[in-house]
Formats: sequence, structure tokens, C-alpha cells
Amino acid sequence: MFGEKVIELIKEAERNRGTLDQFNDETIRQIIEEMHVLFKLNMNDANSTTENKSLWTTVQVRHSALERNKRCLLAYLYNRMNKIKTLRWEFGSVLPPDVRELLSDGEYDWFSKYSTNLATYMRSLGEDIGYHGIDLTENLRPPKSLYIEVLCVSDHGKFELEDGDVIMLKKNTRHFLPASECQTLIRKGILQQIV
Amino acid sequence: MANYLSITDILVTNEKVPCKFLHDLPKMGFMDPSATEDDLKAGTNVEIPIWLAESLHARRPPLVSVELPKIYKETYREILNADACTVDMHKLGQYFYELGCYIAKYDIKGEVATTLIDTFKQRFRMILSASVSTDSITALQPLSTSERDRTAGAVVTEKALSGWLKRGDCPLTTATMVANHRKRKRAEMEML
Amino acid sequence: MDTEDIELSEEEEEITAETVLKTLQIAWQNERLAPEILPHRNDMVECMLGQIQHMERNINKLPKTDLRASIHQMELNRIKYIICNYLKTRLDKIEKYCISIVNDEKQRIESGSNYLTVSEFRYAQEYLLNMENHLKSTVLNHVPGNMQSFEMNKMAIYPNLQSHIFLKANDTINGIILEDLLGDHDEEIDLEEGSQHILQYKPVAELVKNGKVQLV
Repeated sequence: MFGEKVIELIKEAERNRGTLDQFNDETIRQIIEEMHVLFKLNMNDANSTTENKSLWTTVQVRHSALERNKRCLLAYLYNRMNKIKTLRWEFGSVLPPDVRELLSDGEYDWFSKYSTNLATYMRSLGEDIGYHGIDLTENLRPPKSLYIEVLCVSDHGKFELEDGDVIMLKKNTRHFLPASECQTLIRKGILQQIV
Repeated sequence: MANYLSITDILVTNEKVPCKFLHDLPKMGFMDPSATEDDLKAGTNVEIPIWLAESLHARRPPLVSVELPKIYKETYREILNADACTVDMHKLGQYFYELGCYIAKYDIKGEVATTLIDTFKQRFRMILSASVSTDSITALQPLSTSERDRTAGAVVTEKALSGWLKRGDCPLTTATMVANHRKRKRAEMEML
Repeated sequence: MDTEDIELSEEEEEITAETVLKTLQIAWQNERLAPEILPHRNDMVECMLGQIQHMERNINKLPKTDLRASIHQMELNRIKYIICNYLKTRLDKIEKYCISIVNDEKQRIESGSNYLTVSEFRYAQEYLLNMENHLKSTVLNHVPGNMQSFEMNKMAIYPNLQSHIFLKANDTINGIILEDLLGDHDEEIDLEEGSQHILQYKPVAELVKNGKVQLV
């Protein structure tokens, strides 16, 4: 109750900085329950402070523990929120099902809202001069060459290029493509640049 | 650094410091592992996490007085001032610097602060000169958490720079979280 | 010369576009290196977008295998990258410092000196609202009574204005005061035009924003 359980959540977040773990619904529920227990104890003791003045210090200690639990819960959520944000920029607006199941429903809700907010912003870019928006998630790496050679590591089916040509992205095929059009597929791990 | 939502700060403030309770605390006897009663008596010495110590110290009147943990006391300070580079920082304190910043507030003489700055300077020079080659890095004395992060950052930068100098371009790569996610899935599949 | 007017002859048009690109490049560099969010340069961005449209039209007129088409395309990709990275850098800061930026910007809007574009400010407010709703619905609404508040001032993250930056002085500037935080030995320094220095960001923040120095 004095921060031990909640620290396990925090340590879990710290251990796996590069990935997202399953949302720990159970532990969060338990911590919130503990907070209610602490709160009730405090309400009882606060009412008895008129008889026993030294109980007031005990109430203060429990209050510190309540604040600590609250802080840790919020930090855990906030830390995951930032990782989920990265998912939008790396996986795109549609998450693969095995990634989606790592998020709680509330988190997925936040992800959708984040995606919508981002889309609205991107669409507004250049609207005063007749542009229909820029996709910021496309141009994340500095361009070095116009064309690059890539290897397809998993089947992706037909892919249409900007000039109208259609290519078949089958596993283990090699292609020579415009760098700007491959960026997203490389980021998603479907294509690999051959150096 | 010390912001409310920082995971690192939460872990740092979880570290324990020796304190003396200045008042009776009914029903809080569980905080002292050697206590036999339900109530905590004034004058008891207990090690509590610094988040609790700060909170109780800040009350008016203060409920605890905070003492320096032994790694920030004179004996250890002398070792660090002599040669901080040979110290196993991982063993001494994972969050040596960060915790030290909190502790320094309770050191009226300001000697902890001086030692922290000095230790940091000594070890920073050591880490910086080692980060140019992978051999030197592995030969370093064990590091604290923040030192490890900084070293990893230096290694990445060094690699990127030499890659850029040699090749003149940066190949596009799979996004970090995507790659990590796949690695974990593969590892999980192998365990089944 | 009016940099906004692109209805000029071929040669004058090139100079204009180049100036805009250079200005945008400096704005991009400053934004990447400054710890806080800087005043927006949306005028430059829109001008550049107009140029891109123009260039794309020219490229489509050329045959695909023409060398000039490749070169123009490379140039286009480069410009697109700078614009996208500039805007993304700003978005990253808006997301990280959302509470303090929204508060500061409200005050700046009242005095007419806003740093964010209208779209950016809308994005910032929406982002903050989404975060608040998420934390409330998952945790805050379920914890005991007096702990349910969303304490913005506790959760706000502020950029570290004391971090060090490399700068180049575009003019000669006299009388910059460097505070001594540990004592009373404040220093006053002068920067000569063209000179380069490493300093704390805070004393030169205003100079970055009004263009007297640029970050490198």
C-alpha cells in the first residue's frame, strides 16, 4: 500500500523501454483498491483525532502514500501513451492485431483520437494555397538518392507507383524503386534496403 | 528531470534513506522491521524511501529528520574525491547522482554537492575518452544507470558518424518499435 | 524585392525561391536545436509549398528519362524533407510540452505575439484534452474522492532553457548578460558579427527569435 505494488508497474515499464507490454489491468485495479482502503482508514482516523491528537500524523503519512500511488499510476499511463504515439508514426493508422491487443480499450480509444487529431492537422497544411495536406509520416528520413534497391521480406501483393506502374511485391524478390515511395514499407519492415 | 510524470524520478525517489521519526506515529509500526508494537514511537530510526521522507520532512512541524546514507558520508566521499574512476558505480548506487541531488539538500555543509560535481567531472572525462572505441567501453568500470544511458548514446552517435563518413549515406531501416516488437514475438514463439 | 510576389520573370523568380529556401532552412535548423518552441514561419512554409507545386508542374512537362527531371526531383525531395521535418519537430515539442505551451500561447495570443499557427494551436489543445480524458477515464475517476483532480501545474513539463547551444552571430551584439546561478559573478559579453560561440540558450533566446543569431 505504501508504493510497493505500484513500483512493480513502474519497473516493468522501465525494463522494456523499446517495446510496449500488455496493459496491466489487474495490477492497476489492485492498486486503486488499495488506495480506497487507505482512504477509508484515513476517514476513520480523521474523525478520531479529537480524542487522539497524534493520529493526525498517521493520517498525513497515509495521505503521502495516496499521492505516491496516484503519481505512479499516472506516470505508467503517460509512459505508455508516449509509446503508443510512436506506434502511429511507425505502424501507421491501422495497427496489426497482435499490437492492438497490447493496448487497453481506453488506450486504443486514445490512439484513435490521436490519429484523427494528427490527420486533421496534416490536412490543414497548405490549405490556403490549394494544397490538400501533407503526410508528415511519409518524409521521416533525409533523401540520399533518387532510387534504391530493396528486398521484399514478406508478401505484400500489388503496389502501385506514382507514375502508374504496378509491381508485385513477393517475398524474396528484389526491386529498384524510388526512395521516397519505399520509405513507409521499409519502416514497417516489409522491404529492406540493400546496400 | 524531476518532473511528476518521470519514470526515472519515481525510481530514484524509491531509494531508501535513514531517518529518525520526531513524533509518535500510531498504527505505523510496520514501517520498522524490528518493531514489536503497532505504534511507531518518536525517536525510532528507520530506513524509508526518499519520497516518503521528503513528504514527511516538509510537514509543519517536520515528522522526520533525514540523515545521509553511508555512501554520501565522509568515508565514501574521500574515496570518490581521491579517484572516482575506479569505483564500481553500479554497486555503489544505480542512481548515485540523482539520489545525491535529493540528499544534498539535507547536507548543511554542502560537501555532498561538491563531491557529486567532482565525481561527475572525473567519470565524464573517462567515459568520453572511452566512447570512441568499443574495446575501451567494455573495459570501463561498471556504471550508474544515467552513465550507462549516456554511454549508449555516445556509442550510437560514434557509429552513425563513422558510418556516414565511410559510406556517405544512411540506409533506410525498419522502425525501432516495429523491429523490437518482431524480436519479442520471435523469442516468445521459440519458447513455446 | 517583394519575396511574396512570384509573378516575376524567370531569373528573378529563381532568386526569390532561393531566398525563401535559405530562410526556411535557417528556421528549420533553429527549431531543431532550440530547446523551446520558436515563433512559427508559416509564411515561408506556404511560399515553399507554392514553389513545390510550380516545380512539380515543370517536371511533369519533361520526359521521364530527362536528366533535368531527376535533378529537379532530388531537389523537390530535399525541400519536402526540410518542410516535413520542420513541422514534425514543432509537433514533437507541442506534444512534449503541451501543458506549458497551451498556457503560454493563450497569453501570447492576447498580446498578438503567438508562436503557433492556428492549426498548431488547435492541435495542441486537442492533444491536451485527449490526454486529460484518457487519464481521467482510466485512473482519476476511479480513485478516492479528494485525489481525483487532474493537476496540470504538477504534470507540466518545461523545456530546459539552460541547455547549451552552438550559435553564430549574424550581427554584432553587445551586452549579453550571463547569469551566475551559483554565485554573484554575472558576466557581460559581446558577440562580434560572424563569430561562433557555445552558450546557454536562455540569455540568447530572444536573439534567436529575432534573427540576430542563428543556431548551428
